[in-house]
Amino acid sequence: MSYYSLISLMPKTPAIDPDASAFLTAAGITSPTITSAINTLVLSFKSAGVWTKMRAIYPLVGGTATTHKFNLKDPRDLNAAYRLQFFGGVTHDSNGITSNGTNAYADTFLNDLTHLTNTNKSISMYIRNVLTVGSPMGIINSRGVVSNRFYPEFLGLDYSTLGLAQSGRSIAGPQKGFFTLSKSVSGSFKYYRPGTAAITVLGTNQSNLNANYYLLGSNNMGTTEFSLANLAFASIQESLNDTEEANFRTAIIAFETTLSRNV
Amino acid sequence: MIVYILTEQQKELLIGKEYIKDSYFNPIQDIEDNWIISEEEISQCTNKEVEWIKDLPQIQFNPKPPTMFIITE
Repeated sequence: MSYYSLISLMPKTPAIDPDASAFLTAAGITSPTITSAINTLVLSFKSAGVWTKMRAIYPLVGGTATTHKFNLKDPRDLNAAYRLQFFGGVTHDSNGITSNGTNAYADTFLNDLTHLTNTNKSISMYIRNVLTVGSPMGIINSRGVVSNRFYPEFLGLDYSTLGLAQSGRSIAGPQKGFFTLSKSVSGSFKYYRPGTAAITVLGTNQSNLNANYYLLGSNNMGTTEFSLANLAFASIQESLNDTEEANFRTAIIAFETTLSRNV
Repeated sequence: MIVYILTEQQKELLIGKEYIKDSYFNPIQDIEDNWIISEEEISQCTNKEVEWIKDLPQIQFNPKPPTMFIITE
């Protein structure tokens, strides 16, 4: 048998997408399970047509601050690449990042005013625990006249709002899993929650805020509001339509399942 | 919840410093305006420059009440 015939019989290592590879190299991750999960995630985003819409993708894999900080879309170790910076008592493990509820948050360096368009933005998170107070992600201005944040529960209502004044609505579906707020039209946003149909919320349109998105807490523009959240994924992107959100959700749930941290 | 109390001067020394790689101290004020840091920052700290934090006095954490803004349109 010739040399070339032997080579053709050798098992082939599946090719890793270059964007997945760049992230894994930056984070120093060599685990085969995480490598496969990240590669599949990137390929799923690309085939769903959402990769080009993403501004920041935080897969929160590898179990340390140094592996969790990287943005999959642009894995340079720079604020300009929306690399996370962690403050206060954040716990890092294979389930992602968990706040102590006292003083912990992560700054994304992604500014709502300068990096996003008013009617073309969305934020997503995979939260592994139920919160009854506190915001796991976002920005709110003084007195809540403009809110761009998840707030899954306060006194029995869900106050998650994007680009409008903060308002409450009935809690529906499980309070953990994958959530998206998406705004593509002035004066309304769409809210996608696990286990229940998406809803459209209407209100007076509000301008974008000149402040960075935070994870594990909300940036209250001068102060920080903390939570006890355990996040296993977060992202900030252009607005998603129903089909894109459904494909995005499917990819994230598969990703969390591969990593055995789905809830 | 136990937290660790700082003087104003100690608070200034911790701002902008890492307690482990890629994680920064975040002193905040409790309901009585004491500056505090969390148990996690103390227990995970590997920064030799700030070893003095291991000797900080403990207190029970009394947070400022959460602010919740509810707008009715």
